[in-house]
This record gives sequence, structure tokens and C-alpha cells, in this order.
Amino acid sequence: MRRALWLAAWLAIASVSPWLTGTAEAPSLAPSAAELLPPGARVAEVGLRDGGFVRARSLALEAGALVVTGAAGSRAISGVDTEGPLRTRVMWLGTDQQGRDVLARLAAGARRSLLVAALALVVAAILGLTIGLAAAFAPEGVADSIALIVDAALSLPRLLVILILGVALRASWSGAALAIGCASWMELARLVEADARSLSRRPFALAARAAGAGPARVATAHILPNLAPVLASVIPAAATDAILLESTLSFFGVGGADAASWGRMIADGLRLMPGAWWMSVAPGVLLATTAVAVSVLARGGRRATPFA
Amino acid sequence: MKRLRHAAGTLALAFVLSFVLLQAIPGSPAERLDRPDVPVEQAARNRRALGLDAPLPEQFARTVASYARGDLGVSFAKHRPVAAVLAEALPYTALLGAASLLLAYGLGVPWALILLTLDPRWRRRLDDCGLAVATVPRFWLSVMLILVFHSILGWLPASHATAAGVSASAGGLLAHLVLPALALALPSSFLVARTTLASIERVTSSLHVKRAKASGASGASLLVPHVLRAAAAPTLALAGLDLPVLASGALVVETIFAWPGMGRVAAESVLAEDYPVALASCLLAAIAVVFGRLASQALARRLDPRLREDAS
Repeated sequence: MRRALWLAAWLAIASVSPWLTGTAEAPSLAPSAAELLPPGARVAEVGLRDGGFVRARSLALEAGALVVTGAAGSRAISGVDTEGPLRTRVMWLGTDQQGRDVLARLAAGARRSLLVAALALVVAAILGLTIGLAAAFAPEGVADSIALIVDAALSLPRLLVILILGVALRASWSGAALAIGCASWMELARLVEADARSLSRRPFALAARAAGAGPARVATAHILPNLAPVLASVIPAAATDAILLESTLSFFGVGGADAASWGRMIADGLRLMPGAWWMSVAPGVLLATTAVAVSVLARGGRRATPFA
Repeated sequence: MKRLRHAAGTLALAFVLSFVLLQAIPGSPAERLDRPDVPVEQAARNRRALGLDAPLPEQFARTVASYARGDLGVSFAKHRPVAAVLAEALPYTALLGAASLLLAYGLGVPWALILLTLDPRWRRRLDDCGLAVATVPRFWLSVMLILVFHSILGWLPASHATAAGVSASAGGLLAHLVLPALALALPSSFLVARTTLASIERVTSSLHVKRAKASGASGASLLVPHVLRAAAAPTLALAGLDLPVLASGALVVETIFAWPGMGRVAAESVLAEDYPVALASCLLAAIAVVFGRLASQALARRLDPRLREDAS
């Protein structure tokens, strides 16, 4: 129970964090102010007339225009409200190579990670349930060929399949979710088939058959609700996998490469490795803690579900 | 025999699946040839040369026929025979795989034995820590290993199998091997430890160990012949089942460390839409998985006589 509360708090922080840290894509004085800043760096920001902020290293007022000096030189900004607010902000986790706040991007990445993982799970659950139930209720020949398909799909390396699907579906985070879901249904289908088979020999299922219900009706109305324990025990573990797979996919730059995602941030950090260690450390720690939190929840879920 | 037939069926189907899957890549391979800067006749000639003008079933039949002849086709990106590309990569993957498997067991089993000597509360705590390490994504672990041992400490090289411009030597290869092997082995070693621990705990409460204890065995003479042998079966079964994990883990780790093995070849071929190489590496990976499964079943039957009765 306490663990579930921790996880809920975690999710809540992840979903409201964009408001805590400002906008996800903090406006920067691109490209001149695009610079890597270490954690804890203080940046000055000037208010614009439209209410936004622009980041600057040093400021000077010359001939009515504000001269903002960034990393790569200075330039005058006319849109600046010289009477407007001036503030300093601390980049608690530093910035990336384009001067974007790592903390804000982490928050945006959290939403993406959880969203993709959730959608991938839905896809995997639908596929696994449908195929597993079909295999349990189909005539023997069909069931055998489904088992063979599951075996064959399991023998292809999962990451390679996801990479192929991710490249094929090119699109964005939804494509990534679909790719992960389409490569993760096999174990679930196996478990569902085994469970549905044993359930369909139980008296309540036999009674439903005797009362005239067809196999499809028995499968959906009588067996399906009883598969909840299997789902409850499999889904959290699959969620850990989905989160890790999403980050791996975005690490390779597949599936919405521009969006802020943890895997992408780690990859960016790797490219600038000796200098910008903070870029990959923070997203990795978040990724690992999220994965551990979900797998701890998985253990709790397995313990809590009866008959599983 | 029945197992072998099932394995062959699985492999054949896996081949079909990967063929179909690769057709889904939009840029591959016919569309890639239809770039606007390529004249139409040239594009048509290219298609004919690669056999891409035929309908899908015919393409599939042709691929199967050429595979049956032992011809894996020519890489689109590297313009070399696929077989040569794979043959070059295979020893490196075998080396990395063997090293990481050895490391996973070399670290995991002693770790389990250390945990066994602790009192249960600490055992559980350390086991939880191990679980945390096992869930850490391998690519992040790789990045951290590079950061610590290459960037900060400067002890070990972080990419490729040999230093640039230096002819390959055993020592250099070994130094390059350490970090990727560690990145692969560390998470699995904790899984090995968990499985070993669980099966040792199960075995020590079983009758034959009680009997051995009663007849005076203790310490190593109890642990090795009576406990470890009985506990080995599930742990070793993990090795065979670990093969797909190692194969896909190698995809990431090999790419990060620029290790010239199968995983990197596969990842590159997919990202570059190099379709013949991708198909061949899918098939090769499937073979590794299926035979890994068969081997671990066979090993488990050897170690655990009870499973042999089931098999017949």
C-alpha cells in the first residue's frame, strides 16, 4: 500500500512537473545563447513583450535596444520590454547543447515515457488477450499453428523487431508505442491461453456451455473476467519492459526523434561525453528509479492477486 | 525428435515473419531506388538487378531459393556479400557473448553464495539492491561505465575492438572487451544470483540434503555435490533463455561501444534500411534463440534426472 502511494506520488510529480519548472521547451536565445551549462548554473532572463522570457548572459541597454550577450556573441533584441521583468533562474540540472533546461526536458520526457509505455501496454494486452483466447477456443490445428507463431515471434530478438517496426512506423511517439506493443504480446498470449484452457474446464464454464452459450460467448462473458489475475500479474512487469524499451528506441533516435525523451537525452549526453556528464546521468537515474518503482509494484501486485 | 521438428518449424516461420516485417519498412528497398535524381530507366534496371520488380511471393521464393543455395545476397549499403559481412562480425559477437556469460556466472554465483551466508534480513536487502541494478537499462549502464572508466579514470578504451592504427593484439582486444562485457553481464549476474539463491533455498529444505546432512556431510562436501548440483538446473536453464536477452542487449551495447559484432551490424542494417543484411541477421538471431532453448533443455535433462522421464 505504501509503495503504491509512493508510485502515485511519483506519477503526480511527473505529470505536474512542467508547471513546476516552467515550459518544457524553455525559450532560449537561439542560436547565440545556445550553450551547455553545468548543473546549478544561474542564467539571466529578460521579459519579452509577449510575456515570454529570453535568456541572456549579460545585458546592456544601447540606443533603446537591449543588447543581449550570449555564448557566441551579442545581438540586439528589439522586442524586449525594457521596463519588463528581469529575473534569474537556476538551472538545477544544467542545460543541454542547445541551452535547454535539463530539468524541464526530464519532466517532458517523463510524460512521454509513461504515455508511450501505457499505450504500448494497451496494444500488447489487446493482442495478447485476443490471440490467447482464440488459441484456447480454436480447434486443435489452429491452436497448434498459433503456438508455432508465438514461438517464432519469440525467437526473433525483440529489440530488433521493435527497431524494424519503429523505423517502419516512422511517425512519432504513437508509432513507438505501437511498435513496442506489437512486439510484447507473446508471453501474455501464452499465459492467457493456458489459463483460459484450464478455466474452460471449470464447472461454471461447462454450465454456460450446457445452457447454450457458444464458444465466443463463453470466452468473452465468462472466461475473460476471470483472466484479471493473470493480467494483473503480467502487466506491471510488462510496464517496466515497455518503459525501458521506449527509452532504448528513442536512444536510437527512432520514433519522434525531436521530442524530449529520456533515451534521447542520454544519447545526446553520450555524444558530448567527457564534457557534459550531467546530460546523461539525470535521465538515467530517473529511468532506473521509474523502472524499479514499477517492478516493485509488480511484485506487490503478484502478491496481492489471489490464484495468480 | 519432436523437439527438433518443432524447432525447424519455428525457424521457418521466424524467417517468413522477418521477411514480412522487413517489407513494412517504407523506404525499403524499392522506394529507395526511386529517388528523383535517379533516371527512370536506371531505376528500373536497378530494380531488375536486385530482383525487386517481381511480386512479393516471387521475391520470397527467390530469397528462399538463394538461401538454400547458401547465398545470402549482397548488402545494399556496404556493397559486399552479406555472408562476408556476417562472417566478419560473428567472431566478435561470440567473443563478447562468451565473455559476458562467463562474467555473469562468475559474478552471480559467488554473489549468491555470499548472500547465503548473511542473515535473512540483510540477504533480502542486498537482493533488492541487486534487483535495482538488474532493472537499470543496459544502455545507461554502458554510458556510465564509459563515463567512469574511460572519461574520468582513463583506464579502459570505450569503443571499437582494437585501437585505431594499431594491429590487433590479444591484450588490446581484452582491454576493449572489458567494458562492453561488463555492461552486458552486470544486470544478468544479479538475475543469475537470484535464481541460484532461490533454487539453493529450495534444495536445502529437500529430503536428499537432509539425508546427506544426517549421514555427516557438512560444509563444502555438502554444498558442492548435494546442493549445487541440484540447484544448477534452473540456473543453467537461465543461460539458454538468456540468449535472446544477450542478443538484444548486444544490439544496444555493441552500438554504444562500436563493437564490430552482430548486434551492431543488425542495428545499423535496420537504421540504414539495408534489407538483405537485416533479414540474414534476423534469421541468425532466431537460430541462436531456438538452439539456445534446445541446449538449455538438454542440459537441464542431463542435470536433473527427473526431467528425463518426462521427455520419453
